[in-house]
Amino acid sequence: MGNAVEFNEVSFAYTGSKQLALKNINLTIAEGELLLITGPSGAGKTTLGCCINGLVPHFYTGDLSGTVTAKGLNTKNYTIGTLSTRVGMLFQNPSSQLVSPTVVDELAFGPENLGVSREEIGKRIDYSLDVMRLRDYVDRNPGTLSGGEQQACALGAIAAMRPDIYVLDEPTSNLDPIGSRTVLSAITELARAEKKTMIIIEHKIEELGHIVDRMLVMNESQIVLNGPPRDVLRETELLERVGLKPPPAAVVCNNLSSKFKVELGVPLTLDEACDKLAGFLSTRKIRPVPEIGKLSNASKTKENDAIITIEGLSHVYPGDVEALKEINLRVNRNEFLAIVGQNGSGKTTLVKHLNGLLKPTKGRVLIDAVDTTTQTTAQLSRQVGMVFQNPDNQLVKFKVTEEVKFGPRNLGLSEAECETRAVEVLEAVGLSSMMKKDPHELGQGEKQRVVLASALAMRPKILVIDEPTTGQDYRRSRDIMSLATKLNKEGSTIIVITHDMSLVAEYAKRVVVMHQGNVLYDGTPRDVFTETDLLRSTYLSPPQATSLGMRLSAYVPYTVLTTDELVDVLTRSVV
Amino acid sequence: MSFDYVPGSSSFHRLDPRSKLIFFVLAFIITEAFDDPVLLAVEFVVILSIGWLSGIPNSKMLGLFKSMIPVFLMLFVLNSIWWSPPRANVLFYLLPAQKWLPISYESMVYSAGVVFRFANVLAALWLIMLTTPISRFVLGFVKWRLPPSIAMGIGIGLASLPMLAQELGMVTDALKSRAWEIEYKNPIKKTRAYIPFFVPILFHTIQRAENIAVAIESRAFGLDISKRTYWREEQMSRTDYIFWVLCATIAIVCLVVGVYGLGYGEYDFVYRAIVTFLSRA
Repeated sequence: MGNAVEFNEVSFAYTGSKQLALKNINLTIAEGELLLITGPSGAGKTTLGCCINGLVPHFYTGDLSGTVTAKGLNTKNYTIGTLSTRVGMLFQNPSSQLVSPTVVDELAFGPENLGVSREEIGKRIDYSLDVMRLRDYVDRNPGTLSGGEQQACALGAIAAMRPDIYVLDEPTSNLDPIGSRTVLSAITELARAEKKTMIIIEHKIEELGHIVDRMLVMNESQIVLNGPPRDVLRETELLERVGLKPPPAAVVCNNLSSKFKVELGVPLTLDEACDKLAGFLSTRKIRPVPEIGKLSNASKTKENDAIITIEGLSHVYPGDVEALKEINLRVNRNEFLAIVGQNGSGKTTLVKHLNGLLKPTKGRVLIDAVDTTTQTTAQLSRQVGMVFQNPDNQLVKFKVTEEVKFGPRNLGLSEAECETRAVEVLEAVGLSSMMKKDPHELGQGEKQRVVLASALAMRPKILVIDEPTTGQDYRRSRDIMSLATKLNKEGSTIIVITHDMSLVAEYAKRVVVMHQGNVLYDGTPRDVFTETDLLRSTYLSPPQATSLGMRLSAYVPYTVLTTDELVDVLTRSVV
Repeated sequence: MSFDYVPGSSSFHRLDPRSKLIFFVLAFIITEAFDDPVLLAVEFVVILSIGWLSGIPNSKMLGLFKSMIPVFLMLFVLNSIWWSPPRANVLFYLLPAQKWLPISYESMVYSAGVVFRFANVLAALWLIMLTTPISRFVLGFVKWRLPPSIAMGIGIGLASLPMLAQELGMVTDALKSRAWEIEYKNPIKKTRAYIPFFVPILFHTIQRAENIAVAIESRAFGLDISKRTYWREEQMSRTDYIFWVLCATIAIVCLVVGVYGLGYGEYDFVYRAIVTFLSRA
């Protein structure tokens, strides 16, 4: 079999930038190969993907040296249009790539551009509708689909063009767990059905390690690891050093292998890890492990010190859509609460009641004993700071300090006070050196911190962060959560909405699980993650370390939340 | 406001998009043919009835009009103030001491006509948007020899409206959460309150334009547009031709009746006709 893609000594710098986005890349991708390209944000993964379909250098211009060939075509010498007959590219943000008014028109768009006959287009539409399970949405506007469905639609639209090479750039990064699962199963299905070359750019190593033939890790514009998944995942220290999260199962096996001088290998799935670890542990003498105090991550807030009281809250959107049903919830001062659940479960609707963006249809919400219906959102913003998912929606000024001062100014504070607060919060989020920069020109992680600083400058007692980790790599996600923890320690009440269960396990003290407008469960992460059936019913799953611990219950007598805890308990249990 | 297509199989839904554009032209001609608000109100009711018969939920159309009430009120008030015919029957003055800003019976009738004229054009436009998928418009434009790239551009732009509306909602929430007041009754204050929206919306528009350009380029849009095929096919049916003839007839009748007979330049023609009829009876 020949090579589908070849990079020979490829370096690239975007126009206006002195920094290389790609440095001396040499890479061959065989026909029919399934390759995972991973690495932290800014490592050059997307640039590499854009080289394959010619967006670099034809759309994103710059200085390209070396040669890139896709199915034998030197990408420098062919237009994006010509290359698109061989290379299909799926982008990170599903909504940004959908251009047609209905799903079926979206699927037809590519083949129409290729000049395919009507009859053939019809067949291809049918194929994509079936493979992507989109038959129920034929006449829907793609913009009104869920994130997972939108991405499946975009992938189906590419599949309808029948390319030889698929480049999928972070296809699940903006999706909730069920959306991710929808897209990953669609990708697997497509890979199996078409046997085409697939290049997947993703952070989620643990979900893809067992699907791909090869993994490639990029850092600082270069390839730092390249090989079969087991070989790459063995390098857990290097992966962590570049800011990636190695799969917990691989980390546990690696740790035990080196501690006990055995060769457990690198598991790619939970089942495999379970078999390897159970096999190893069964050959060793095991002692009971006492629970240690620090394992309890129950909230240490005072009882009867409610800062948020929600009583019988229902919310009905126009068109009789009941988003919240008789919610009762109390959040104490200084709690660190995570709200989890599928898209559409009511999480964002619930928190929008805290600062009056939404008013209850029924019931009431009290913030520090004050009914939210008696105050405007502007008044409530003194108590409740809200950080939304997309920082670009929240940046209104052209200078970081001005951005941070926007809220305090609206509160009517003096210029001197606004300035003091801006300096203080920018230091807290580590952006003191960027005060005079235009926030729009910052990286995504820095933008997120500007938005966080803007909310903090209003000194709210409660800080609500909606999806702090979307589009962020592991290191950035942890940075934001660490900052939230610091604020929590200083007295703020933190509420985080997230789909990332490993972050919930690591940082939250209390978890509220929402499903179809109801609170399904309310407890500590350790309690919640033992409720596997309940989680399954909401399409959530415990972090891999927790699942592995539960599968090894003969050796792990209690629920572990992190990889470190699991390694610790297994190490202590072996005599 | 949502202009999303409402799927259906009514006669109006099935019309060729070009026929629906003819319908829009007809609605516009009628609004120009008459000045009498009663006649214009009849046109308004007819358009709403077509929507209702086509299965457009009342809540959808009325919801769209509800959001326009401030504009209608503004139109009525401003026209009542600034338009006054000679020898008008002044009812009162907004500044009585100075006898400034007279409000007359004639100016109010005229203003009601202006409001209905505007509402009719909107109603006709919304009706065709709610009953026609954008893709069919695009095909209609292509059939009318509009360059495919321009037709697609219009189509993509219209398809983006729901997403832009969604993003505007997110920006509003974010600004309100930072103590920014936008709920002003004073239209000048309200307009000023929207100034900070400019930056994120501009950013989104530029970003969306770039994203769309990347997405369509990557899907062979620039390959060879002259060889582009179309999966859907728009064919004018006999019903469409009958509809065109009907529209043309109604337009001619309305123009003749309006200009040479009733309603045009007579803002309260119907009212006076009824009074005359009743007095004779």
